Amino acid sequence: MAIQTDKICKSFGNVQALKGVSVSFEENKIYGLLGRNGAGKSTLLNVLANRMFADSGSFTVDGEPGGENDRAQSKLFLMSEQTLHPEGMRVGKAFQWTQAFYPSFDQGYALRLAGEFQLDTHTKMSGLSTGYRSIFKLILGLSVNVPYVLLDEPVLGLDANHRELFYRRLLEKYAENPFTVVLSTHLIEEVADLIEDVVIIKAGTVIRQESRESLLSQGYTVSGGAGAVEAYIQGRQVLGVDALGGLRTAYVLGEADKTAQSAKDLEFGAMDLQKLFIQLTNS
Amino acid sequence: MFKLELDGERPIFQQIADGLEDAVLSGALGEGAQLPSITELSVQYTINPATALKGINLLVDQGVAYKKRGVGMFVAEGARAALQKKRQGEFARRYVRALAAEARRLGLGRERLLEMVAREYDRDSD
Amino acid sequence: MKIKPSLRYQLYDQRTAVLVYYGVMVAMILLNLLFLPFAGDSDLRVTSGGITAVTAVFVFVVALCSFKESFLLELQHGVSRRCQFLSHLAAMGVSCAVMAVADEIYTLFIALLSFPFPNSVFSYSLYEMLYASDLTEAGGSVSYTIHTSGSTVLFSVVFSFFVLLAISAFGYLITTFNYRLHKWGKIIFWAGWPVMLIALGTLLDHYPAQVASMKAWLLQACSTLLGSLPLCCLTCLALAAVFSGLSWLLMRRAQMK
Repeated sequence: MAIQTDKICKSFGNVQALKGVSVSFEENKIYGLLGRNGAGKSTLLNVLANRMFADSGSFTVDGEPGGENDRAQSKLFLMSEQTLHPEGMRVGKAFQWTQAFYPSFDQGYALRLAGEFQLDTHTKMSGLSTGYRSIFKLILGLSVNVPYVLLDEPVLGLDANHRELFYRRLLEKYAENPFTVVLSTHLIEEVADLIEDVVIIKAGTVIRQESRESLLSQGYTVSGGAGAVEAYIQGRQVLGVDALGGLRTAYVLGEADKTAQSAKDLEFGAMDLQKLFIQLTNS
Repeated sequence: MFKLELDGERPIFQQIADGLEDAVLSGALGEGAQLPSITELSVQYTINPATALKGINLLVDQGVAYKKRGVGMFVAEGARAALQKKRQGEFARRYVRALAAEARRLGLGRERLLEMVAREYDRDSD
Repeated sequence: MKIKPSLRYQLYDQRTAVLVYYGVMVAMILLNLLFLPFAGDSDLRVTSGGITAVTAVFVFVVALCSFKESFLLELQHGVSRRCQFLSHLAAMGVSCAVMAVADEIYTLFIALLSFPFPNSVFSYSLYEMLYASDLTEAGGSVSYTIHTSGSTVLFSVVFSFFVLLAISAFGYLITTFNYRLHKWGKIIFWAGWPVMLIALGTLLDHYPAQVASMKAWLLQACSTLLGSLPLCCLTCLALAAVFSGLSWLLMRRAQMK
């Protein structure tokens, strides 16, 4: 049971947004779909949600073709940056329509969440700020109860309290009844502890897909004086080096060799997802 | 609920396990007490439930916690003593080594260090 | 397939506009009637002739506005284009049928008002005016008589339904076509065709004879194709089918914008 893509390509004019993307989102896992702005995250999600067509390649949902397939599409819900509801529609009415299209939608829960987020259900779409548009769509995503929920930049415009509230409600929902969550974001620090698997996309190509843990275990940080760090990293696979005055922090792939002669006076630390991401996607 | 500040230095499941161990050692979680559920841990610290589970499983593997089917996880009998024993074993590596290294870095002599340690130890036991 | 909610949504989308439209039409007639008692012996008359002609314009405008919003909303809710299109056909059928009936009810309602004002209120359906009328010339004066009967009531509904269907399908074709055009395509197309028409007009001015014969041929074709109620219904149905088929070709590859 999974959403599986096979070499999806998509261009806009002469910009190649996706260059043969093959990924799979398995059931009941929380994914981080990470990439810099314009890397192709939204395009990939829009293709999966049948809003755009791939130029080539295909995808399946639980084994059946996913594009233009009502049964496959009824298993997933995409909350995107764009609001696709008519501007004149009120929030409460929108909930009713989601209920009509997705019988599994829990309207009572949606209304409760609206209360928690102070979202007035009488407001029209046109009257919602960026943050409240995000909240409105997040509530839909949290209440719709389908096996695959795709969230594109879910916390766009949300303040810290609302972001925290969203992450908590998401985890509660997930713990109560697991489903697949794809969190597409460039705010990696916030979701780093939340996600189980990581998909890193760079310029339309998937460069990493694995569990967060295995990704992080592939490397470590080493810091200390410039001379010592440079001596240590000689001949090792280095992703990048941060400099702060005479101090250096290097991001190194492989096993830390704390017994090496050059490791004296150096501090070793765990790789951090955000740092690793920055090093991997810097071009 | 125990207080836990997650940092980026060590794996989170390790920190969860350590935090719960600390609570058992301090007596905040007595033997036979129920541990926070995976959901509670996950929501409280906004971490993936699989990570929380892994932390709890570390405790189960050591015999510090056990599972009552359908009820939850509980602190095992003798958990505190077992943890004390384990932590004693780790004490030198986790604390004394750093202490000695720092003393050396500051140019504190061996005698001076031992003296300071003795004084602190006595003060706290008052 | 999510045909049912999709159909429900598309009907809901048009409901308010339809209610407002008939509300305005009724209000206008009532407003006219208010002045009747004060008219005295003057020639003031209230005539409702062929409301379906007005409804046709309304249906066209509604069809023009019925693609983008519902397309996007239904994409958000996982409805395939195929399902959306089938629901659209059903919605179009339902709304045209409802309006065909509503037009006739409206016509009859005003005809009912002619009882208190026998010489001032007249009401005919478009069908009656086109197919149940006689144009007779006697002694240099032309008289135009319309025959209303039970069967013309039924035929009016059938006629209105097919006419509205063709118009609605045409409006939908235009709006799907417009949606598929890129920004520059829109500008070129919508600015381009008036220019083309003017150019064509000046060109045709040079061939008056051919234009005249073409006009005659067109008139002939129209009167043949629309000559009787069954023929007219068939023609409208064929047009609706062609327009809808083209709309589907445009819609099946439409993407979110």
